[in-house]
Amino acid sequence: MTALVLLAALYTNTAQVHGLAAQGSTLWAATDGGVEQYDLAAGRRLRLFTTEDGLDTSAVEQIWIAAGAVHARTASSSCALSSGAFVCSPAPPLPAAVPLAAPSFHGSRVTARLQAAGKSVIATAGKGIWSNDQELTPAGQVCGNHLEALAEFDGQLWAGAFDGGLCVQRADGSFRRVAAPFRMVNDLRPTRRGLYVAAAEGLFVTRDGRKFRREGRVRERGVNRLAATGRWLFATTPAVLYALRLEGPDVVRRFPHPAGSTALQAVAVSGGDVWLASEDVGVIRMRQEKFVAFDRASGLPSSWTVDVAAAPGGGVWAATLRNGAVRLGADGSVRELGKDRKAWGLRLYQDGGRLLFGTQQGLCVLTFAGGQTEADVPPAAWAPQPPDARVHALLRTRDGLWVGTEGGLALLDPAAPVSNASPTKK
Amino acid sequence: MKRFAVLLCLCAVPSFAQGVLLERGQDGASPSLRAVGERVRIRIDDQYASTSLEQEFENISDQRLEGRYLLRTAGATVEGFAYWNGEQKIVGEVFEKEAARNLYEDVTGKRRDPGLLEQVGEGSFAFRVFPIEPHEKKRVEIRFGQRLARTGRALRYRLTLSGGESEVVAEIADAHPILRVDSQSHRLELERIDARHARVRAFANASGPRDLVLEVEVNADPWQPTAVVHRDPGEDAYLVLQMAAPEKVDASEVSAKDVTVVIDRSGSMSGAPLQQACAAAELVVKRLRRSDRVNVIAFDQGVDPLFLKPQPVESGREAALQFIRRLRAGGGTNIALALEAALHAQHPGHEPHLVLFLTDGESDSASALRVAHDDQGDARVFTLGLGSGVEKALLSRLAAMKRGRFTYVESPEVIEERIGRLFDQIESPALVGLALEARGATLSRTYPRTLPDLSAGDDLLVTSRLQGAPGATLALVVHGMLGGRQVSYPLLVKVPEQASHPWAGRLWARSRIEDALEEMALTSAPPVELKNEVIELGLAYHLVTPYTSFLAVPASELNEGQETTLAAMRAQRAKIVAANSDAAALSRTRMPPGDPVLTVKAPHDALQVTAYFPFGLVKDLAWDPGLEKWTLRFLVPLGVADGDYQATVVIVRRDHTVLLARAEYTIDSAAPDFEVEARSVSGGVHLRVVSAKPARRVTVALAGDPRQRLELQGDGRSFEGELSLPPQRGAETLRVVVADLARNEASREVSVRQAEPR
Repeated sequence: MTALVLLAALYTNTAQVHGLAAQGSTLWAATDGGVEQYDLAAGRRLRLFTTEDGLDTSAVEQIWIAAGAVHARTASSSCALSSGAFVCSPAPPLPAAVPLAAPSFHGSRVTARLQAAGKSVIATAGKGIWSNDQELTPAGQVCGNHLEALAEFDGQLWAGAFDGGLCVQRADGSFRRVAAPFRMVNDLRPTRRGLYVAAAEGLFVTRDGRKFRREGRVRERGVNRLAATGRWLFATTPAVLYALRLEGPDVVRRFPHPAGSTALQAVAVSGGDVWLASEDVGVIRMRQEKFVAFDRASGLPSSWTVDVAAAPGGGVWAATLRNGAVRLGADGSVRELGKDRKAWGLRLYQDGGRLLFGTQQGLCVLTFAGGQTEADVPPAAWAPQPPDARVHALLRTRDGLWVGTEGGLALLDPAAPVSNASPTKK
Repeated sequence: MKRFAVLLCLCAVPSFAQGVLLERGQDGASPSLRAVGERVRIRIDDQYASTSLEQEFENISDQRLEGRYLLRTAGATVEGFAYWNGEQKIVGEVFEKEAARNLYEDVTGKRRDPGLLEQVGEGSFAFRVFPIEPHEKKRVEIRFGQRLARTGRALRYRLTLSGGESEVVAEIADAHPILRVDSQSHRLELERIDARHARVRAFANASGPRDLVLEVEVNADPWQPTAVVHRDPGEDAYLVLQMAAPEKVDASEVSAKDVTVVIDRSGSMSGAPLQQACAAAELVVKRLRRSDRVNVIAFDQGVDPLFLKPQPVESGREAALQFIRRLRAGGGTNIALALEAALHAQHPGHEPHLVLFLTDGESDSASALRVAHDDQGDARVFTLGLGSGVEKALLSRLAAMKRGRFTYVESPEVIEERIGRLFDQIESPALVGLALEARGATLSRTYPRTLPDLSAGDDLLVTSRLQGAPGATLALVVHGMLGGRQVSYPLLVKVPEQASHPWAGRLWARSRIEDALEEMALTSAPPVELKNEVIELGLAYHLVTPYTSFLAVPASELNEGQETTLAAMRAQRAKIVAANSDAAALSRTRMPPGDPVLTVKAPHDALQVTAYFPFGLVKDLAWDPGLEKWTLRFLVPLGVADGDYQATVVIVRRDHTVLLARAEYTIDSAAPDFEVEARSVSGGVHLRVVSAKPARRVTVALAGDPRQRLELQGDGRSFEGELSLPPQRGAETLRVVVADLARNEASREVSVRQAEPR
């Protein structure tokens, strides 16, 4: 298994609506989750067009009808609907919107209004489309288009959004948004104590997926990333590494400013060591509660690292902000550099015998042959790309490989044959 | 209906303040510095005393002197400061402490030193006065504010005068009719303006005491709360709620109580501290009523309880006294364990459960706080900290969390007196289980956080931010149990249209600052946000804090560069003050493309807050109840060119008026350019790095052994340092890395050869 194949599903969220257009009783909507086609008379969505239907991005800014054809505008393309799919060509950037005071509807900003088929239609920023006070936008959508974290907990897929909170996938494939005291999710970690959620609002835990308790042992609000062993949960805030015991009494160890860092990002456990990615001092290793930093002065291509993941044979892979990935041995020495040293790193994920590297430019697969020495690891290879290049979250389940991007949640590399009717087309 | 459980502040400390000019190096009064006179203006407005103290001193020696002006207070906060050079009055401005000190150091040493007034201890403030020429008179003015506790119906104000001629005028305003204004120390001329307003002039009696003591009696019903609401235009209002227990509580209103005395018998208590603590504990046990129950718990690293739970005084008193007398010191200190034992060893039931916790030690704060947090019982914990090594912040927070209070005991000699005074107040718990309910408006950031019980003579202060439309009527109700029955004390207040009591804002800010400082003291690495908030509040409310001070600089003493620095400090302060009201701020202002968080503190009636970014993004902010601000996380996408940008924030208010705020940020993805000079010196190499743009960090490491490294020190542009090199290795390659403010990095390798040994 060396390459990722086949998009099985793409889930987007269309609650953020930017524009409306109507053709008779057909309503078209430009949303952050693609172009929607509605039958106003029936009051239901007919189809959702996404990157699977020719759009260069699912975030669509404008929509209009010209000469009987549907046209859409994204940040960098102009697209026209033809034979059931959009055809896009490059276009100059859109001018910045003019600040104005917009009316609100059900607590959300109104972005567009029109009258069509005898109905009054209102588009909102965040609460979808309404026709004669009836919500048209389908329920059961994923909780955001920018997914930051994924986890499998209690047999279900959980998705944490950049600023849309947390949702869980139901058996029918739809999503349920979870009422929670946070909305900016950074990481998810299932443990035997429950599902931990690292969020900009603090660290939270739930046992039943419904009630969330703030983990009082972590004092700071902004919690970045999590890692777990059987006994310990590690959590990073910008300036502190926490170790929380998961078994027995509520023991907490607090390590402020590890190796002098005030900008911690991710945490991983490799061998007996805890490794941290930081924005200011590079990669930090904690061994027997002593911290050592490995930065650009140590030979890393950058001291700004965004993620770490355990590497086979000890040490870690580290993702840098904009200099690709680098592998460090257990002693902190640089063992190898990723192939593309201009990649803007986002997330690393161990996927069986290989490492997946999510970047702002796409998904990279780093393959390891079993038992080979580190020096023999083959060079990195770019994978077939998910619908949106910016890959923030990765999770392998029995369904396949889930990829959280800034343009929706995709299921790649499916374990089962893929139906032609992807969720985007329902 | 919302009910808010908040903590009261019981301010039993007598109000007191004294300003003196001391000669450098002397603790007491100097024979060379004579107090000439003073002019005192006092305004007591609903228990808040604002004092303007203008004092004049004379150097009666033939020597040029250096003086130190010291203001000692019990719980006051300095709100203004000025001094005179001849006839020229130099008025102090509040600045961030470090910036103020840097400028002060820069200006000091010319003809006339500037004045830098800083907090030098709890309630103590000082500044240096130099030079004081022979026979020169020096005039200073300090303005400070303090809340006066009310005991029953009486307020007491006390100020130690300097001894020269004095002119004292006090204006008094109260929500209750003023019955009497009196002074044991001074003769008063009283002018009654109306039933609730009075003005007095105070004259010293010949050879009378230097302490001015004013006593004000008001016609207040027992337990009846009063409230002051102040509102600045466009801002949330401030609520100050005060309530005083009667001086004596009817015996039928006193509840029988359980008292558990917890005594630290660790090694550090050996000798006088333990003896005095035991004597105080005996006093407590002896004073218990027949209907009370008693227990004693001794602890070091372990816990040794006398009874499993408190026992009736009749059968348990003698055993408790014997137990206390047998205590011997030794071992460590585990506050968490002892607290947990005391909280668990309580009977069920509604009678007051009081825990008196005496310790001199430090302990694991987090564990102790967790015990207090997790405890579901209603025991009240009164902590007594003995000596300078005690963790005041921990004991104060524990007491607050468990509805008690913290008493600091500075030396063993005063343990008995302090514990006796404390017991006087708590032995008759009257109003218990207090809660504050607000209808018609929302209270937020209420201090203190939980409500203790009120006993005879106690006084309550609650400060809060209040969200309610101007002109709206707010119903406040204090609920509690009095003598075993449920009682409620209602109060109606109106949210004013205009500013009325500015001190209410300062009083709230002080409460918030104290809470933040306590939080910081409990944390080994306090979040920088807390310190920043203290600075912001100090600057916005003109308060001296551990991180803000008053700087008064004569303009004539400043050169051009210093004038520029002062202007920049003022601009920075204006920015912070603006940010503290309704401005927008970004979590990062200089960055490569990334994901900062935008926060906006919009007016309380904001309905919708939307950010417009220059790269096309339009996004709505959401209300964050934890931060009490509107927040938005957004992404600056790849491909945005370097440069300075501004996001526009549109705030739509309930009345459909619109406010605009702007947040500035810089996209900077360019690596810093820099030059390196390396010069071999004995045993290593001296490096100088000059960066073309401001840098946050310059690191040098041996390329072959990066553990051999050095962080160069510098001013942001020029950095220097000396790196030791391993002996006798000949040529070495150094890697020099410069990181700029946006954390962009550039590196260069430099070859150096070790200098020959001399």
